[in-house]
Amino acid sequence: MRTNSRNNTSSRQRITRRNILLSGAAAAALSGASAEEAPPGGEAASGTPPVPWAEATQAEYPPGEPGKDYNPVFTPNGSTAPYKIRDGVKVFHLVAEPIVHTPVEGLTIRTWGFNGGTPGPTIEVVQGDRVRIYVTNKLPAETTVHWHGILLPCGMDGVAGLTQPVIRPGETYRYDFIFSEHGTFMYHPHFDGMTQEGMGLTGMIVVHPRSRDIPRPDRDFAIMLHEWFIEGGTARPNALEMTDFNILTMNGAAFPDTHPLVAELGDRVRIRIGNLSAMDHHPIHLHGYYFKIVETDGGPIPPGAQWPETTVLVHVGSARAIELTADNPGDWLMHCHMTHHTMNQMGHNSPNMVGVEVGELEQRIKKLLPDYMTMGTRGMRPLQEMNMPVPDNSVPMLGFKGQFGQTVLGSMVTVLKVRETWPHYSDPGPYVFPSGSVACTATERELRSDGITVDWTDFEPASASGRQDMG
Amino acid sequence: MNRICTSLALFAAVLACFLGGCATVSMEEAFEPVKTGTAGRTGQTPEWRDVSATGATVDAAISEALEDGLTADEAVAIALTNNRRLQAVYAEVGIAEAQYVQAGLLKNPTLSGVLYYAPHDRKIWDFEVVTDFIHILMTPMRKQLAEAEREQVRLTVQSEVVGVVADVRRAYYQIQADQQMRELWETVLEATEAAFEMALHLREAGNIPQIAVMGERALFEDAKLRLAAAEAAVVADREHLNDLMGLWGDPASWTITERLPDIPEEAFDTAHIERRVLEQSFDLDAAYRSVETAARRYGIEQVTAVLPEVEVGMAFERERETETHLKKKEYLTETEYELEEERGPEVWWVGPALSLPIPIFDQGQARRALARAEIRQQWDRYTALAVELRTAARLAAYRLRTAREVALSHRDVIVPLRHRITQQTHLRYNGMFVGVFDLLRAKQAEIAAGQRYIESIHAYWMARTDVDQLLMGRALSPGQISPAGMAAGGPVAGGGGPGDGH
Repeated sequence: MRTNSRNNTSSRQRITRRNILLSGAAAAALSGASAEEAPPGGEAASGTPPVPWAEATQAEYPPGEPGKDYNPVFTPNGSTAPYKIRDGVKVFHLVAEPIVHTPVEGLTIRTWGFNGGTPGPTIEVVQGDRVRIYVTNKLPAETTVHWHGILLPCGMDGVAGLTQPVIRPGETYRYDFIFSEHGTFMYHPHFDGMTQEGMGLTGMIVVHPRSRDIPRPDRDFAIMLHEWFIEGGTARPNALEMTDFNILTMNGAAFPDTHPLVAELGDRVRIRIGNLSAMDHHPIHLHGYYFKIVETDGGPIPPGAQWPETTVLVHVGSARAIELTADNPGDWLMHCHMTHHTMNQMGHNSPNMVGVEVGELEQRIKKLLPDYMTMGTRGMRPLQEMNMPVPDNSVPMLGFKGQFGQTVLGSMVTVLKVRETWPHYSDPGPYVFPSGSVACTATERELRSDGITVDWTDFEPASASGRQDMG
Repeated sequence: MNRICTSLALFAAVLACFLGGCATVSMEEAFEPVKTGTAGRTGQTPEWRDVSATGATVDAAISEALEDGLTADEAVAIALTNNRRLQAVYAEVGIAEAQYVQAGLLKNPTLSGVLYYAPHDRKIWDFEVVTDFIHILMTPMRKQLAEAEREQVRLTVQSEVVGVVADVRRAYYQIQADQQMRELWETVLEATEAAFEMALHLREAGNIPQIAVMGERALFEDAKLRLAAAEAAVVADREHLNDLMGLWGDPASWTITERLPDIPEEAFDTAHIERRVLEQSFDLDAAYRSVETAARRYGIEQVTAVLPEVEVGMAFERERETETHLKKKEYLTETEYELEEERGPEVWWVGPALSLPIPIFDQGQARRALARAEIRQQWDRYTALAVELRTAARLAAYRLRTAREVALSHRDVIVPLRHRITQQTHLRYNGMFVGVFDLLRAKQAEIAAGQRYIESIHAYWMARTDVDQLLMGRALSPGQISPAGMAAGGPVAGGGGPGDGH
């Protein structure tokens, strides 16, 4: 069994990783050799566990240092986990606890997270780093932490009941292992996942490669995707919800409060996206670019096999890394292309009003309900414009007032801002469009000279009946 | 002889005047105590049109009252002067008054006589003048009895008047409540109509299936019927009040514009309610009079059971005395004897006359026993009424307190809560968590809460009228105090009041 596993799954992986771990030259010879090599017998490997991280355990790398060994990743709306170094071991402390969180202004929720936030802090290490992660449980429930995608001894896998006893409230557990592979991974509890992952106990893990041969990106971003059902007017996510999610977040934030991803013209940009949504995969689409999907949480994709895309589908429980060169300046929307996932809290219990002509009935309803306005006849439109009051602690269908007017977007949306000069990760403000480069109304002359005629005969502008139509 | 006759006749005349008096029956005076008695209790004065010659002024007052909206006090005033059934009840006072006067009148002596035409051209006068001695003897007791009965009738009539006052108020409140309910049903109709039309618009645009439109229409049509029922209720209530006020034709088209009065700031003082009700009860007083009259009847019966009648008088006879002797008549051949009458003078025979029953078989023991039994019966009825009044008083007071709390709860908690629910629903509608149909239905729930509130105010005032009726002096049996506080109060002037033994 162990033998098979070595041969079937790890051989392919080992080829790739050996290239990286050792020198590039020896890689070919070694890869060829290992394919035919018979695996060592169990008893011959006494004391040496015949497992994938064996080489890494023996290699004993020093703890990786930011700047020197890697360019630190930026977690928009989030943070990176601090650590101490004790005897060459990076020591982290995760505290699973109830938190108060604001995904978007106007909505504050009471939920669970790590170290005061959801997602928890990004654990950033370098391949080969030994870590000791202490996990304190301050939740009202038992928990564990599972290191998603990490190769480690089974006892550190973090599955309650199967690989370890639960961490009871008030207890602190210790996880010891070595990050043997580089890539993009995640961490989350493995006890009552529906509730605990649903409540926001999630986090990204970024393991930078040890080898200098792998080019480092100029900009490196980590984004955790998540989805919630928070009934309008409540302050508690309902993790029991299975289908009707109404707030979707990137790193726990919903548009327009998602911090933009900022790059300079010409930067090599890497964006790592993990998805711990309960039920939905997310096709993350980026405007203005095509990118290559360069990595999964199983490892890097060989260049020849890297898939070009404008939309990367991040399955539930997967991580993907994409890379692009930021050669197109502007403010580029990056968002889940499921249209319902770009809206904040909206109910699905109202009738379909699109295209309905209400006429003078509106006035008669106003007699019964003085503040009544018909809504939805023109689709979804932002209500903040009209100053319509909504229940406390709810953010229905927010919009963001861009420089050209309202966007009608929310939830799983962010912006990739590419600027000529901006050596920071902070928000550079709205893009200054070169004059003449923005789409605008066509003049009569233009239409005529291009032979465009518009037949307006059947057209009835929505405000023709003179009523105040909200939607 | 003649002197005797003359002096007897004179004596009789004096006696008659002395005992009977030149008694006249004054209806107006008889009605006065009823007027003042009820005015003191109800604040309204009944007018007996048949005797008070105020018919024209009463009609004028009615027209004036009907010009601007009818108030509750105006309605009561009209009923007390215009309800013919009640006017018929007022006549009871006159009847009792007449009976009282009658009781004081001595029975006329009887003259009976015969004139015989006897042979021989004789006329025999035979007559007697007698009078009922027992009747004369019993006159004072009879008057006392009649007075007690008259008083009982006055009390019963006052009770009837109170009953009408309470019934008019109830009818008035009923109209107010049903008018307000109708208004709210109109609003419900508007809301269901709006929902139905919205559904039609949605259907026109192709956005909802036909069945959804039918559903909204069903609710709309239901609301129409509810409104029609509410209208019918108002019509029925109006006719009931018209009946109580005795109006028809143009005057019956009055309007009530006021709403049900607010629940008073201060709670009605129901302390010592039982004692207050007993003290004020006309019905209880009347029942006590029944006992009194039964006792007085017994008093009379003690004499008249044995000797119902003793006729005493004078008998007269006038006859011509005649002497009859044989007259010898000699003829040539024979001798005839003829009876010859010699007419003497006309002579009066005079003497006392007496007739009385001889109590051999019937010493009146049964009639006396009957009278005694009746006393006991009236006493038990009186006691029963007192118990009933106590129960009614307690229950009415309890219902009043409860009705007040319920109404205040509606006013201060439930209606504002429903209003806030509508507001919250509107916020949720703004956030597009719910749609326009949910919003309209929330509004309808708010209206329904308003209707419950009106019902509770109405129930309060009905409960209050029950208590008022008891304190004004008319009984309500506990069964008449319904849970909603809407008491039947007994029909107008038709009886239904307890203790109506005469």
